[in-house]
Amino acid sequence: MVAANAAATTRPHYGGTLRIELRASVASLDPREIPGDRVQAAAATKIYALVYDRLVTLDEHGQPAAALATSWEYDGAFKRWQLRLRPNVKFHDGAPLVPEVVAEWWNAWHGPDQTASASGDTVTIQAGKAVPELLMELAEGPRFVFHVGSDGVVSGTGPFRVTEWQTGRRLTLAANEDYWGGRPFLDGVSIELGVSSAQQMIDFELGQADLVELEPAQVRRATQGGRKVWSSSPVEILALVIDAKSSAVSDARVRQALGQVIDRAAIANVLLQRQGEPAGSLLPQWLSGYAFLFETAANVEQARKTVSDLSPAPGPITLAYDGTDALARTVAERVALNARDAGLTVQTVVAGASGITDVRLVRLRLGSVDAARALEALVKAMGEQLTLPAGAAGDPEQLYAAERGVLESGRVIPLAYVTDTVGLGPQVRNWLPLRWGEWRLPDVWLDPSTGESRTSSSSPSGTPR
Amino acid sequence: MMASRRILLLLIAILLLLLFLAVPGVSWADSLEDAARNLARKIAAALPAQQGVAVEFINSSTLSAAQATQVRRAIESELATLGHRGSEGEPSIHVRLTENPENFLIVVKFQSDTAPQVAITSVPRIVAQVLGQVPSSILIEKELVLDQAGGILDFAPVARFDDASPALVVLESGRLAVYARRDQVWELYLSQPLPSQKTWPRDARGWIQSRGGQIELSMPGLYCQKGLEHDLLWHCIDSASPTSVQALMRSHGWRGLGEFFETRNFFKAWRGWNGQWSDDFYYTASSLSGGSSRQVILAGLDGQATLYTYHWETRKKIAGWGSEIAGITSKCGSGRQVLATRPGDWTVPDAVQAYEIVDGQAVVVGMSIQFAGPVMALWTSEDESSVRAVVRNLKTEHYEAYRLTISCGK
Repeated sequence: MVAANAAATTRPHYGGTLRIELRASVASLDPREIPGDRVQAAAATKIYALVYDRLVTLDEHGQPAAALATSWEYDGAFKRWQLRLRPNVKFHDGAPLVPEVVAEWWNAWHGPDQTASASGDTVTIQAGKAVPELLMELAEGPRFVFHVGSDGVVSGTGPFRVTEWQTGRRLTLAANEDYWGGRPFLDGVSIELGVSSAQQMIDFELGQADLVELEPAQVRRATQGGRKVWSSSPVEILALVIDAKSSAVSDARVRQALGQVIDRAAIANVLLQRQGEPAGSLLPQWLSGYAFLFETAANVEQARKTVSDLSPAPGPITLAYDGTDALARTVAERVALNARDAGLTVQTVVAGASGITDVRLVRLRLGSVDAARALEALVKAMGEQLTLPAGAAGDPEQLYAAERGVLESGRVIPLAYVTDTVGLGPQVRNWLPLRWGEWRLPDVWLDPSTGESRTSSSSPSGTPR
Repeated sequence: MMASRRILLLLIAILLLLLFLAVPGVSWADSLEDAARNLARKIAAALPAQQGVAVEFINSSTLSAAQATQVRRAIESELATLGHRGSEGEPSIHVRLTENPENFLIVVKFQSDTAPQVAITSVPRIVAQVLGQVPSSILIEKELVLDQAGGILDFAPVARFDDASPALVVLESGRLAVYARRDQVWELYLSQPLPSQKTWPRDARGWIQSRGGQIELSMPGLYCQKGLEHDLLWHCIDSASPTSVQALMRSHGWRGLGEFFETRNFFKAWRGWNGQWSDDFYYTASSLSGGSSRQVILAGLDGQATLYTYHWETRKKIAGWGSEIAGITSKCGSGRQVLATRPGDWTVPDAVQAYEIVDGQAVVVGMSIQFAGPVMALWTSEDESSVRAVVRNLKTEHYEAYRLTISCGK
């Protein structure tokens, strides 16, 4: 006979408001004002994606897919791109998405080397030099299409529209009934900004938040009481970057010993509570496919021998970390502890507190889901040089050689990859983010049969048809 | 008039020819093996002549064991052809199959006569791959018809198409695609955008059927027909007609009338007996048996299915079903079963279970059949002898199209 278990369905329910809490205090909803800070920028991008659309999006495999542009063509030199716009799309203020508006948006962002013009239902971008990666550029980062109304208000075409905005504190969104991708299942989303990790955890446990960000140390506690935890693939890297002017680590053998003595497995398993992986390379395995070729295991004996052979003995090394990042502090302290096993003295300091540092602990986010673009961005952010040979973008063997070349200098020492981790309330269904952490809230729905009664079936007004 | 028609047919023929020529003749499996052989030649060039090799092989990708074996055999046979026969002992060549978002990778570490070396080659992820029967001795049998990266709403096999190849018409989220089967692989033959610029619900559903050289297409508020081969024109009836929802309902095995909200995923049912629309909303419906004992089951938004008599009297609430249900006829049991999915959302693997209705109760018949992801749609075939299922595989993130039938088992 039929089991009478919990009522739940495969097809989504409409209705309800998803309550989100974030640590970042996003100061503006204008996509032209993307913050420079890593945490703020990641939060802002998530919020902008609710209100605005890009011309091109990424599919599950990180490949460009149609969004506001439904198709595109380019010339053999990758200098002239024609993008056909999706018909019948409107901004939240009612203005239609037409090529003239998109061309104006584009030209406001770019200099004369990349100009856009409108014709029929297409936008043509003419570039002074080849832009073969244009689709990826359009699909990532802050390239959200917007339109500034006569009242100066910035409007998007995204799945949700803004109903209340308390700068840096609270954002309330309502479903865009006319969304071209289909009306979201949720009626609305409320986002509390600037909420500390500790407060998020409390609200999560009390059922006052449906979606919160979790620190690695909070994961075990969060899974209690039927709540779910989701982690992305690794999207950040913790690494040591050597100061080129430092004399304490100018000897390559000191850098080699430091790299060998670090217990990366302990960092991933203990400090990151398995919400990360040991890193021997800059790109994680899921993105490159070859990261396993780089060694991550510690070799304390070899490191000790290298240091003991040095004459004179190496002096103390100053390691700077971001004082606002609790995880960075514990990782820096672990590095100092490990270094002692090889006979190296590492002193940890908060970045900016001391004028002289030999090594910096950096925490960087992958800038792209395209391996070549991500590698270039990481290396640049670390202050190193990388010139990929032509064709390397599509050739993993060349990319591997380039990455190995960067790491062989010993000026960058990867430690661990870090995931994005969130806690999900028991009502949340269809949590289907992309593996690199991009949320897809229009697909999320709230199960009214679970938890408190906060949802109601939302039906369109009037007679069907 | 005749001349313009000839020109039109000529243009269509040229278009079809160009589309056909644009389709690569080499299958994806061949590409994978070719890549493996090329890599083996590169390794061989770096090894001392005639040196024996011991290969360690690890598959860390989502490729199947059979596909991994193909790669291994291709590498080993190519090495042997080039004079490097297999040998016992510590592995001297370490092969690992991995993947990144864009490609599958074959990564090889080996010792050349001078130094350790790494060689890597990649093959783009599969776009559409083949199929094969999955034998089963249980009551529900499933046959994998298509596996592809893009979304599938429904599909309709066509026995013969154009040059006598079997074909498959696939309704995708924004287009209708025709695949011809060549060398065990479905190759895209023709695609056409959908004949409507409506905004569909996020979990859009759509149904197609191939009958007598015609394609019928139905989505909420839209019903269209077109010729299968050289007719590129759609003949559509818009939302003012109930034809589209009737077609959708019929394709679940229910010949009643429903009315879909165009921007939602549910409908109201027409209670013909008392001439009223239902107060409740439903996701799917299926009829049971015939004659005076005809009953109907509707899967509601509350996660419960409701069994009604022909006169719309509630007979029973059924809990524990998912929202996808479809009727099917068979030569087993009462001759009429209902297939239903499990409760759950799109993040968990799903299963389909067969039921019979006995004295107003839903009774499980046979074992359920498991899938590697949520069942997004179940559609009853025109003759009601099979059900088409669309599954989103959570591991591969591909969409899979299955044909489900009922076997009486042993």
